[in-house]
Amino acid sequence: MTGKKELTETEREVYSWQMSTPDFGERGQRALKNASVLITRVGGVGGVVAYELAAAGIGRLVLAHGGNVRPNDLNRQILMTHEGIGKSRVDSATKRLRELNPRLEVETIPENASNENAERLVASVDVVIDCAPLFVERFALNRECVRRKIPLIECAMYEFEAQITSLLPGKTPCLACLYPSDPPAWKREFPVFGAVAGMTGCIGATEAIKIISGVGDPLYNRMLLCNLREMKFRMAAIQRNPNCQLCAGI
Amino acid sequence: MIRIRVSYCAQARAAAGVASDDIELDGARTPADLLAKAVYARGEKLRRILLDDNARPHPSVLVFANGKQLSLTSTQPLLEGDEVEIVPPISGG
Repeated sequence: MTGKKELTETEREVYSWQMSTPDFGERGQRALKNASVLITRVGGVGGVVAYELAAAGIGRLVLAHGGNVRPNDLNRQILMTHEGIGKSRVDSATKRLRELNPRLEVETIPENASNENAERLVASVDVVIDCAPLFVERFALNRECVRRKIPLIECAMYEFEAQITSLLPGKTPCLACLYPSDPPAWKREFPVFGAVAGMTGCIGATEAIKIISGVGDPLYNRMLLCNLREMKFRMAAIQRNPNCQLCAGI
Repeated sequence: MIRIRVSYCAQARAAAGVASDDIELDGARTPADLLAKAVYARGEKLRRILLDDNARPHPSVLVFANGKQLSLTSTQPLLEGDEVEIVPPISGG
């Protein structure tokens, strides 16, 4: 986020609307251009995160998602298409992202996050956005973000509900503070609407833009709870676990 | 006796079959007591989400009272009128 690449005239024109935000301006846009973000997986939530960050002019995205597009991805995974069924998810995502922003640098990794690859996935990025469905993936990313002391944006959804928070090692709870063990009765497939996934992704992308540019107040030490069934949005204060085995010492 | 309004989020709502309950606590009034009462009221599906194999609160369930996270091992009593949210972990996909 401290890189030196300057904006081109094309970029000044493309991003002129957001650059007119007084506390963002050219400085914030340059910060986005020089930033690298890891998004694990680019499905219902992560696909929207990636699309919004590509639109905003992020410099580099690392996309980690294994497997090929399936028909039941298409109610929510807006970077995938019917034409892409049976083909690589990250390749489909990259194609759509480059249509939107041909300047975007994309690194694709056709794997889901795991204990084996988390260090490699996180090594070259400034911020991680966790959109993975399995807690083994989420815990692996959390461990690596705590080790590297970089922000981890947690995006989650279920049916008509969403939970979003931003974690900063040493300053906020880590994921293991909140969830010290595997969640009870969690299933890989769960009910959700694409519109709910999309809203969750938009908030996650907004958090990344704020953290990278230093604008506004990220969801540090707070969890945004969204109930779209009843259109209730609540903010809840979350706490570090002083006995957390992962982050208590930092 | 005190009465607590409890809201169930995500899969806790699906398991409870309702969005919220008014739960009366008599005597013991800790977060763990509240979860036990909720499970007693709503049954086995909710038990699998909120409690571990030893009938203690599952450590990965978040409980908020009036917008603040509660420790599940807290002995501090809940108060009349507290609004509690039970928030199991969810993920992306």
